[in-house]
Amino acid sequence: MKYLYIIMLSLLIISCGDDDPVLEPLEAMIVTNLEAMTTSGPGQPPAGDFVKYSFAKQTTVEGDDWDIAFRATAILVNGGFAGASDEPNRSGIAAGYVAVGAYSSIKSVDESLLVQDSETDKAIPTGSGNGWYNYDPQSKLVTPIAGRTLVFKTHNGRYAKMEIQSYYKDAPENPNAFTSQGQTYTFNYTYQPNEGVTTFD
Amino acid sequence: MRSKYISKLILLCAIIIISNINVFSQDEDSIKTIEMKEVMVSANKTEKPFVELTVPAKIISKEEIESSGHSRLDEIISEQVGVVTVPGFGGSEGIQLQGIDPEYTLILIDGLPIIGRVAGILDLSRISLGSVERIEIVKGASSSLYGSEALGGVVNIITNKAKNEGLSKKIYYQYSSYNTQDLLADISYRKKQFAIYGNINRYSSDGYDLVEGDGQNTVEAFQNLTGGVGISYDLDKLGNFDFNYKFFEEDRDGTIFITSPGIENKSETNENNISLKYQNKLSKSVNLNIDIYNTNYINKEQQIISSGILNKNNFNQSLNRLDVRLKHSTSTGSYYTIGFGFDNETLERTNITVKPEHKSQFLYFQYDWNTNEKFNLVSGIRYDKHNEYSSQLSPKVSFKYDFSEDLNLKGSFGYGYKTPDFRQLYLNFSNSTSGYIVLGASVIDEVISELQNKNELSFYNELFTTDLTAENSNSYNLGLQYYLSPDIPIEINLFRNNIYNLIETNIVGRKNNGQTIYSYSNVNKAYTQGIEIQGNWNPIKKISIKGGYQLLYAKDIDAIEEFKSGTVFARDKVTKQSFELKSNDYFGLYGRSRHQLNIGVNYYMNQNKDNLNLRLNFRGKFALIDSNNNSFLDKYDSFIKAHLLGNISYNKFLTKNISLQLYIKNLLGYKDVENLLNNPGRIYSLKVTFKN
Repeated sequence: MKYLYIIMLSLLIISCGDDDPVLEPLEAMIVTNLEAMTTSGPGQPPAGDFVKYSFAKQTTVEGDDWDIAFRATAILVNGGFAGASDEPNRSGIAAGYVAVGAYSSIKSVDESLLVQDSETDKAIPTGSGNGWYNYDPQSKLVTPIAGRTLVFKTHNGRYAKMEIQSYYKDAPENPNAFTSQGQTYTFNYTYQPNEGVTTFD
Repeated sequence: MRSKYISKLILLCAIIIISNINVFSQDEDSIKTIEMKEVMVSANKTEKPFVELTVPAKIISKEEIESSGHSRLDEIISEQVGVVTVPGFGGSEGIQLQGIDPEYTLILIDGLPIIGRVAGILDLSRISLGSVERIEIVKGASSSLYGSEALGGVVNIITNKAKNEGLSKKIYYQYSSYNTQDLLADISYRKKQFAIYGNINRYSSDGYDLVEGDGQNTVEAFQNLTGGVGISYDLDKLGNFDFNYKFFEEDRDGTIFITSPGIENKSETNENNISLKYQNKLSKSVNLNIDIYNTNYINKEQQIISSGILNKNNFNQSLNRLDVRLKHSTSTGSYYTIGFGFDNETLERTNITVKPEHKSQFLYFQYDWNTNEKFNLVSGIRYDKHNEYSSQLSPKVSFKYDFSEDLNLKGSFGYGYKTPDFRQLYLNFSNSTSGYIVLGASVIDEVISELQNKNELSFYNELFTTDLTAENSNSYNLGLQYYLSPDIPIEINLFRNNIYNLIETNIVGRKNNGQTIYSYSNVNKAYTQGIEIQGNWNPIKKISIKGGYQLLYAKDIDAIEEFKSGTVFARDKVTKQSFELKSNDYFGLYGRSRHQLNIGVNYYMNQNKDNLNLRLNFRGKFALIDSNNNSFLDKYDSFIKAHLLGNISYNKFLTKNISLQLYIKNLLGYKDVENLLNNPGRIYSLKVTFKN
């Protein structure tokens, strides 16, 4: 696993009065080429380890402090119950949902929509057209659906929003399922580090 | 197959030889070209002078066909205003009338329907222009006379029927790029009440390849034979009998299956049409017409490897029709038509387990009210009873009002419908390589419950309704025709088609192994509307110019709503961020150009009718697919660029009977190898015609 680059995009300082607690700034990130390969062959059910990511640490993690985890097109949250034996254990209180709207227009978390993973369903639904992507059987391409923003509660109760931009290495403008390396995520996210704060601006 | 071809080719040779021997003495004076007023039959199922029609229509004359250089129907028809050919499945070409998809235009030969819409579109390149007398196009819904399929309009190909007394012959040979060869022999003989006619046409091509290195040609090599014989006998009081047999057969090296080295793909088509038309003037005012028709279309596709047949597809469709009509003319110049009959249609097809049979009976009535010199009102209604669907009642009203000799107004309202086809009802298709299943509406319940019992279903949309109803439309036309001078007519027509219950393919479920299940349902509402302007002009006697323009807006009503509600997005190609699309970002339906312009110039060089014929066809940008993955066509999608196609032909009469034609199709060499696979670029042709 390698990161080509991680950029700190913006810092936002919110006013601090005498008695107000000092709020941490929002963290906006772009993550490129996060590889989440299945070890099984084409046409086979995905296999192998999930790649676990922490919004706060801005990197992949091995321990229980992960917020979301990737393998091929599946995205897990660290909250609820595992659906299959090869999924990582859920030790946190993470949850998520798919919001319809441009990334910048999602300004706060609708807590009523947050769900955790369960044995049968995922917080981020799997399958073409159900969650964050479409799959075209002809071109065999996985394409992130425009206007889908993934909203998360992290493993320790903070919030983040995320937009997946590409499923192929280096996010090519016109990926080719046969020549481009897939299962390789590019996404941006905004992390709200302050406990109890559900807004993103 | 080969031996069949050989026997047909012998027949062809025989016709050529016979037609070259002057068995019948030929009297020069007896061959009179009768200057007849152009008439049209398709608009009213009975002859009516073209200039008196109440609906928007168009006639492509034999002369226009012959001097154009074209050899197949799709080519000539795409040069008409408001008629656009669109590439369909597997290289086929259908037509769009008033922005309505090819599935919804009825195609007739001599008033009788052609079947064999394997994937919905009827491939017009199947139809040879060799023995065509004229082509009639009626725009706007015409189900009041024709029933199903006549939503966008009707195209009727009228073939040569030995109009002239004596022996008429036409033989031509055309050689074009890609070793495309077109050979025709057409012969007809009329002696008073008796006429016999026959023709045979062989058309073959090596095909072409636009994309190198993919192991297959874009269009594979093919050869086909089109032919027919007919006898017509007028027994005076006993009436006129016209018996006609037509066939089409084709061998093609390509199928819908994927090809790769070592795999041979063979497609074989056989089509037969037999008709008997009976006509009798029962009294001074009553005319009887009876059409009996049988047609059969068989297509077999095979994917062959060394060890045997890997895959095959069979398609076998039959139609029997009876159409009886009585026309009663009144003393005031009005007349009414009553017609009735039935259709029986069957299909056997790979991936359809049942053997469906569709039976329908119909009854129609039309009144042509013509008592006032200035005003003509035509109103009609048709009732179709069908064994599978709810019955249909299709009205139509149209009028023409002459303000003066120079100015008239035409208007029409009509209902059109198309019953769901066999595929939409009975298909049970599983594509193991791409991993999807398509189920027709009549078989889905059974298949789904079977999958449920076997516990193979991971998800199924219980709300999915399986009743399909006919797709239908209300079509409106309003047109003005103005004669700038007696030979410069200008016509403006406004049209609007409201289309309901369009059938779409939808995802209805998923199997445990991940296979997506698709089925059909009536979901969409759409409209097409626009303006059509056309005119002719002869600036000098030797030059005739015709031109036309169509402005078209074709939109899905649900899509308009979605854009309004702000739930449609696109992704910026550079920043990769998605953004919301606004209402005016919606472009419309696929395959539609907003602008279409046609200009034709014909220059007659001398008395011999030698001529130079240039046609320019402009098509505005359009798109066939959604390229930015939001399932709508918006202005951020990739479009097929606006382009100009030019055709030029030069016709030279060497003698009175022998002519030479040089033809360059797609003069400017426009190509789009990624999107327009039916266009190989510039094509050169040379043709020799013998005709008397």
